[in-house]
Amino acid sequence: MREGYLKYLFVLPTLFLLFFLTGYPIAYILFTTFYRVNIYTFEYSFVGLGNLLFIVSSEAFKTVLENTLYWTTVTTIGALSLGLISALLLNEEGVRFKGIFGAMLFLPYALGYVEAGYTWLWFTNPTFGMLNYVLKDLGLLSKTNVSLLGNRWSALTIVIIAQIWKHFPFMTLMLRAGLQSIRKELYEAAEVDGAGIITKFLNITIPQLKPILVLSTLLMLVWNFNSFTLIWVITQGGPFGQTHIFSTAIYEKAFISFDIGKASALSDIVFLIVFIISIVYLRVTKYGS
Amino acid sequence: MSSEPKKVGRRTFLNYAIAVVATGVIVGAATYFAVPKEVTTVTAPGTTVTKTVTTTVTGTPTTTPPTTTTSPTTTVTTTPYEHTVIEYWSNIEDDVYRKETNPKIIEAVMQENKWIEITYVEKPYGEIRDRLLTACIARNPPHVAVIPIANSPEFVRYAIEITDSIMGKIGVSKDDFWPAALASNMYAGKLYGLPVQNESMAFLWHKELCSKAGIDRPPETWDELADFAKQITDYYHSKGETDVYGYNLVMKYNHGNTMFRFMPVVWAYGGNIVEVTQTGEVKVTVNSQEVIDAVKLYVRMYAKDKSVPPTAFTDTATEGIEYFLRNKIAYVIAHPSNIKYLLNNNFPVEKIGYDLYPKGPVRRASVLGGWNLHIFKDAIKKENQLEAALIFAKYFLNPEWNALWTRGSNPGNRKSFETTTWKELYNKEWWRKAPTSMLQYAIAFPPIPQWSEIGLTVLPQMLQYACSQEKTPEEAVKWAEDKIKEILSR
Repeated sequence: MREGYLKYLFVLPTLFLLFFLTGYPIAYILFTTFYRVNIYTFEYSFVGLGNLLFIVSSEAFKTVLENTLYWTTVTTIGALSLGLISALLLNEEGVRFKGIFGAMLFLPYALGYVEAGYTWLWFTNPTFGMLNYVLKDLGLLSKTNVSLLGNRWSALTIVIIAQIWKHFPFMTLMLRAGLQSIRKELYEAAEVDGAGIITKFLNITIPQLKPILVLSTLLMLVWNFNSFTLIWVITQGGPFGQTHIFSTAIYEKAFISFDIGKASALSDIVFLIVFIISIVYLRVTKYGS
Repeated sequence: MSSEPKKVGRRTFLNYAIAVVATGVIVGAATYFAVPKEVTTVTAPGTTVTKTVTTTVTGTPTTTPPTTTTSPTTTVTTTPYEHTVIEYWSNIEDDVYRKETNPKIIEAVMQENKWIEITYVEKPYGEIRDRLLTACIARNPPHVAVIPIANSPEFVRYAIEITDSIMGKIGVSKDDFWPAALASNMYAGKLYGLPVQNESMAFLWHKELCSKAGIDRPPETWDELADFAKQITDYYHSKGETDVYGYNLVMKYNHGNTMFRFMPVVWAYGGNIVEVTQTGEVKVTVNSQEVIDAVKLYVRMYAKDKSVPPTAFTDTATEGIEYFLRNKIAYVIAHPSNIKYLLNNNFPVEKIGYDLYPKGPVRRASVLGGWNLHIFKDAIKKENQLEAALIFAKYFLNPEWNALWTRGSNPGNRKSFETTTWKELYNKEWWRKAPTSMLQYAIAFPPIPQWSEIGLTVLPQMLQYACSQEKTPEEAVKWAEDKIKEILSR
């Protein structure tokens, strides 16, 4: 029992960094949850659960919660579905120019979030953008001069489509790697038994992809839940705060309103949700293995 | 030879641990004593700068009139201070004159005061307030910042007090500035910043678009503006040009352009959002018939007449000028530098009308805009830093340099109006007359620290609620009243 202490010494720098970069901010957020912080005098007044109660009872919280759930679910399912379809297509034998298609599919993922956000902002501009003209030609809009970012649900739809467009290439990459690892003999044996495309997909492809599907979906869930840049660049949470998700609402409270106590209270709620997702993730992936 | 790693016992481990802790203590102590201790020259707001700075800084500008290609020469007695770095934040990218003059001022300061080094940090106009406030809260602000006047009330408590003695060192007096501009830097009766640039915007109208729609003059009143905007929009839409609109309505969230365009309407109708009494008490006055009428004007144009671009929730004045440049919009509240931008882009001068704002039932009003200079007390840790910041401020407010930096609108130092630079510009550029004439109608934003948040977040949301008809104007105004009270109660 006398040996082995050196390893703890080696771990000390990491523990030290973890404490200051993660532990301290978490502790500070927990602390400020119970205080009203005067940003001019740096005075802290104890308010107990006041900040949490204010947040949870506000109408805006309900909107933010709804939006976050809707946003996280739809963007994850969207990116997963589109990623799976494009991975299957790219994995098909006989498809020519796979390299070019693969590179093109990867472009949105390679583009920065701010650049992607501004691209969508201009794309949806009724005067200079082309989206409204396309939608009018398709019969989905009666006139072109409609602001799609001026309404809660159309604005949410735009940012969700943008997020899916940005993230599905990652799913394609992951799933295509998974598809390439499935042994061809399995499909050949199924064909001998007379299995069709759907049977092979449901009974071979999906079960074989399951580990990578679960991992990618959970990763995507956490990324989408925590994402900020795209929605901030395109809508800034507008119109009138109707497209805020947790991350943008926290930013708005902390760095525009500078209401540190309420921003911390909102962060606590998010921390709790992410903590639960993390436990589910660890359980599903058998503690990360 | 055994490949088994050497085992470390408890005693050895403790020795290592003690060695690490001891090293940490020694390094920490060495760092602490190696860093020069701060000489606090500035105390909390409401108190004065107590340390007497004995250095002689003359900085007398020559009387040689500068042109746009030469810089004013300033003779400064070199002070034997150690090398001092001053960080300075502002926004120059949006103004061609500032962009041209800013590096020259910095160069002049560094050239004539070899011990000073100035690091300039550009901040986007829409983000300068958020970033600076974050830096102030983190107690890591720049030494100097030149920021929009609307944001100043929020920063006075982080800035050093500008006493008469400091004004003397900078070479200015209170009489050199517009009283309303000085007021934007006041807190509890004391001054914490100085105006660098002051301006009023004016009303830009597209003569050709208007005349084709049967209108040959700018609107006299805000109601007439709504009538004309509808007439213009209807005319062009009936001809199939459905991307042409009457007025550049701005309601963008977290963007200064919104309050700069809405507050003149509120004041013209006789209302206000908040009022500060002589005793310093802040009254929330948003829930009034006058403000409701101002909101109704916006609702009429956006939701009923549809005489403004449907992108008004996300548009800023920048988009407005782009629409104007492409003959897509007839009326824009425009900054003088926008006219220069249009002319630089070969927009025909005969199509440009630039006049006074429309009147309301009570008065004609505009916002007293501009930029203020602040020196931040948390950045001033040593005497030489204060000295360098004051020298920098002296250059900035020198009438000659000030005239050059503010050619995009009007100088903050009123002595700059007497410079040859300014007189030549005023006589040569016809479009300077309207915004300068508007200065007499200009009103400053309420000088309360919470104004930025109210103007940037509450007003746009109130307008968006009403214009999207999510709430009636009365409900939107009531919502704003509650929200402002909540902000003020923090």
